[in-house]
Amino acid sequence: MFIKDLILTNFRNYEKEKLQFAPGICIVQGANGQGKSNLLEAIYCLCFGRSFKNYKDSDLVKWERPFYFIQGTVVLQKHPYKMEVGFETGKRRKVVKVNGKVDKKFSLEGNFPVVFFVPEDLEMIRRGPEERRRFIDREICQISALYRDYLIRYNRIIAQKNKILKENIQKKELREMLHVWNRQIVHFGSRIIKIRNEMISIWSSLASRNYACLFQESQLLSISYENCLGIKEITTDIEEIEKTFQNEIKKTEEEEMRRGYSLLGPHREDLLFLLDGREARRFASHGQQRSAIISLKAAQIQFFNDKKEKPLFILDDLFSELDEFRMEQCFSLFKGAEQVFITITRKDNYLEPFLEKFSDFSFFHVSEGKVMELKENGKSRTFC
Amino acid sequence: MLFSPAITRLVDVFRRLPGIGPKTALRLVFFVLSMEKEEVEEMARALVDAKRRVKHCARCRNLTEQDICSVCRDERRDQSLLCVVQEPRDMMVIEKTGQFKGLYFILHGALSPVEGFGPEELKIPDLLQLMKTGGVKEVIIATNPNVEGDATAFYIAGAARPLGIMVSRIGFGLPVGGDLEYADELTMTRALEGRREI
Ligand SMILES: Nc1ncnc2c1ncn2[C@@H]1O[C@H](COP(=O)(O)OP(=O)(O)O)[C@@H](O)[C@H]1O
Ligand SMILES: [Mg+2]
Ligand SMILES: [Zn+2]
Repeated sequence: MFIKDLILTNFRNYEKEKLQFAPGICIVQGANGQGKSNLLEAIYCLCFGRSFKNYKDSDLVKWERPFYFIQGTVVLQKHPYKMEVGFETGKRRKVVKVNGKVDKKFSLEGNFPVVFFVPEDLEMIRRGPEERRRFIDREICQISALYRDYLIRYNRIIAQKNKILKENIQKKELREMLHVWNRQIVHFGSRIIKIRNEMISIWSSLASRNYACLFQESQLLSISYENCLGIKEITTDIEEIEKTFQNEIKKTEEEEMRRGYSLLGPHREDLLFLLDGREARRFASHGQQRSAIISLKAAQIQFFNDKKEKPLFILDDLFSELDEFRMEQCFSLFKGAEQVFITITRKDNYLEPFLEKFSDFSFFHVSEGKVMELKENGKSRTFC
Repeated sequence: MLFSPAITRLVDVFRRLPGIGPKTALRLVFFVLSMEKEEVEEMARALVDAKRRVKHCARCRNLTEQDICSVCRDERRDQSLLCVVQEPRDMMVIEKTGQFKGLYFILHGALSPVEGFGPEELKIPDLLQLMKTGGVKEVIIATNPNVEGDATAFYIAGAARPLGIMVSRIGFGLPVGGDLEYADELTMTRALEGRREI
C-alpha cells in the first residue's frame, strides 16, 4: 500500500499543501518545529480517519481556522481509494469519505497495513500500564477491524458497569444488573484476550530475535502478556478462555461491589518487557529500553513480511538517536515495505550510503508548513 | 442585543428539539414569524393538544389517546406472543412487515446506567407483571443490537425464564442464552461488508 497524493488544508501548521508521493522511501527533512511530524500525522489521519494519539479533532485544526480538510489517494492492492477527512470546529462536524461516499463506521480501519512509529513509543516501558495498553490497542486495531469492534463495545460495557457499581442499589438487584454486564464482559473480553495473546506472542518472538541479531544486544528480550486471568499459557480455544474468565469474574464480584469499580478484564492488563527475565522498567538502561522498543517495532514490520500486501511505514524521528549500525539494520527492514515515510533533521547526506541499496527514494524538505520535493540534479543532492 | 427577547426565547425553545442547532432554530423562527397568525395558533394548539391527549398505553406503553391502544384492543392478535421493542418507531417498522401477529411492549429506551436508564425507568416491572398475568407464552426481544440492547435482552430473558416463558431475540436469530458465537459471525460479516462498500 502507498500514498499517491495528499492535499492538506488548515491542518496543524499547514495552510494549503498539495503533494505527490511515489512508492519507495520518502525522506522528510526539516529543522525542529517545521511540520514534519504534522505531515506524518496527516498521512495517518488520511488512512484511519483520526489521529493516532488522543488528539481531539479540534487540536488538528490550524489555529484560528474554522476547519481542517485532508484529501488524498491511498493505493491498496493496486486500487486507488480517494480518502477525505474533515472537521468543522463550529459545527463539531466530522466527515470521513471513501471514494466520495460517507464512511460512518471508518470501515477501512483494520484493512490498511500500516506500521507507525512515534518517539513517544520509546517512553512506553517507563510509563504506566495504560500507556502500554493504548499501544497494544492502537497496533492491533490497525490490523484487525474485528478487534476494534470488540474493543469499542467492551469499553462501553465497562463504563456502564462502573456506573452501576457506583450507584446505591440494593445488593440483590445489583447482582442481577452486574450479571447482564459481566456476561458481555466475558464474551467480548475473552475475544480481546485471545487476539491480544496471539499478536503479542508473534511480536515477542520476533522482537527477541531482533534484539539479539539485529541490535546485537547480549541479553534475552522477552515481551510478556500480563493477562487479567493470570494464565501462563492462554489457549486458542475461546470457550476455554470464556470459562476461566467467567469463574474469575464471579470470584471478583464481592470485591468489585465493595470497591465500586470493575477490577477484572482486558482494561487492567499490561505488557511486560523482560531482559534475561528481569523487568526492563526497573533494571534496564535507557539504551537497552530503546533497543527493546525498536525491536518490537521491527517485529511489527516483519509481521507483514508474509502478508500479500506490502505495508506502509510511517516512522517519525526513528533515526535521531541511532548509531550507524542500528540505522543500517533498520534500513534492511524497509525492503518489506511498499512505501516508507521517515523524518530526519540533519541536512547532510548521511543517509546516502543506506539509500544506495534502494532504487526508489525521494526527498522532501519541510519549512514553516511548506513542503518542497527535492529532485535529484546531477549526482549530488543538497538540502538548502 | 440583535434580536428581540421574544425571538431569542423562541430560538431557545426550538434548540431544545433534537438535531436543531442555533442556525436552524433561527431559520425556523423567521419562518414562523412569516406565517399567518391563524396558522401559528393552529400549530401551537396542535403541540399542546398532542401533549395533553397522547399518553402511554396502560398495557404496552405504545403512544395512544386511549387508556389501551388499538393494537392491544385488537382481539385477532395473539395474546400469548409478545414483542419487546425499544422505541415506538421500532414497533412501526415491525408492524409494516405485517408478519407479526402478537402484541408489543415498548421500553422507551434500553438499560444504560450511564444515561440513568434502569429497570424502573424502562418499566420492566410492568413488563414482568404482564408476562405473569397476561397469558404470555413467548417473548421476542427486538432491542437494538448494541451493548445496551443486549444487556436489556439478557435482563428480560433472565427474569422471564423462571416464568417458563420462551424467549428469543430477533436481529440475531439466536435464542438468548444460546450460542453467541453466531453474533461473532455477524460482526465479522459487517466488517466484511464494510470492506466491500469501498
Ligand atoms: N493546530 C495547530 N495550528 C497551527 N500550528 C500548529 C498546530 N499544532 C501544532 N502546530 C505547530 O506545528 C509545529 C510543530 O510541528 P511538528 O510537525 O511537530 O514539527 P517537527 O518538524 O519538529 O516534527 C509547532 O511549531 C507548532 O506550533
Ligand atoms: Mg517532530
Ligand atoms: Zn397497547
